[in-house]
Amino acid sequence: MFTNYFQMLSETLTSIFNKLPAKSVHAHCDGPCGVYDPASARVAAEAVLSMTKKLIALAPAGNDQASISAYNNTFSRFVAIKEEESQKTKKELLILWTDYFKPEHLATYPDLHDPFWKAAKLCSACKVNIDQTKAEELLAAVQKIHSMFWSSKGRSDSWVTAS
Amino acid sequence: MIAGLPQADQSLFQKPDLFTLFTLIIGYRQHLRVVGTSMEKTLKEGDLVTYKKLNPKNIDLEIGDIVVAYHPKTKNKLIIKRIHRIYQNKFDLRGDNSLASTDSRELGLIELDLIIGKVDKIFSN
Repeated sequence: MFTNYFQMLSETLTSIFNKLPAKSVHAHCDGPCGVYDPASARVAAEAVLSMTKKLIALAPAGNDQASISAYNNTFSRFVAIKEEESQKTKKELLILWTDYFKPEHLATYPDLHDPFWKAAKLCSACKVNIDQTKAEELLAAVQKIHSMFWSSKGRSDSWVTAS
Repeated sequence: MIAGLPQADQSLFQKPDLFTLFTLIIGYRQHLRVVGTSMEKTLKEGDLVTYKKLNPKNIDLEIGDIVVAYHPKTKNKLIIKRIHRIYQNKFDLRGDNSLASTDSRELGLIELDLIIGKVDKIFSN
């Protein structure tokens, strides 16, 4: 009788307790969200490659002033996008490199710094040049980082591109 | 029994007794909800913890204790970490899940003043 009474009381109080508002105590990283994903770098790197290909394929429709103006306008816009996306790729990679990866990861990935350094250099090369090979190398470098990142989380998310 | 946890941590996991529930409900004791994964596998996201407030006259913190402290940069956010090393009045706090934790390795040593208490009960979901 009393046992049942105490059990009911305990269950009721537990139910109330579980509904009480609780202040948060953070067991995560300095960044408020702690969400990292190389997908952001991958999308930007894909855009770099796409714009590089478009620039290579671009040609004026004719020799008249209107065609030249249209060509120059489109060319400039494509270059600007390529520049912007290259910088974005670099930024996203640096976030992963400096914020996500910890010194402990070096034990598992002794060459951790090398792919990031090379990828960052490729971002610069893609800004400076209209070079499809460099853009493809950049995407390959991001893929390598993608594999390293998910492996560090004990996952093996497949590499899927948008384009 | 939580597999893989040291004995000291096992004793923190409890089902709340009537007295504890009562003190929590009336607000006599504070409880906090864990956000994030830096203390896995000891503490999971959503776990509730209570802590014993630090007594300035009797600092009984030891290496291995799980503590609640103010974030040294923002000061308005509470963090939960384990004491890794003690240097006089400064503490090296680390997350159990070292690969996913920003702790004293980046935040620097945490001053004693920022530590508000030691976790004494964990109510795991």
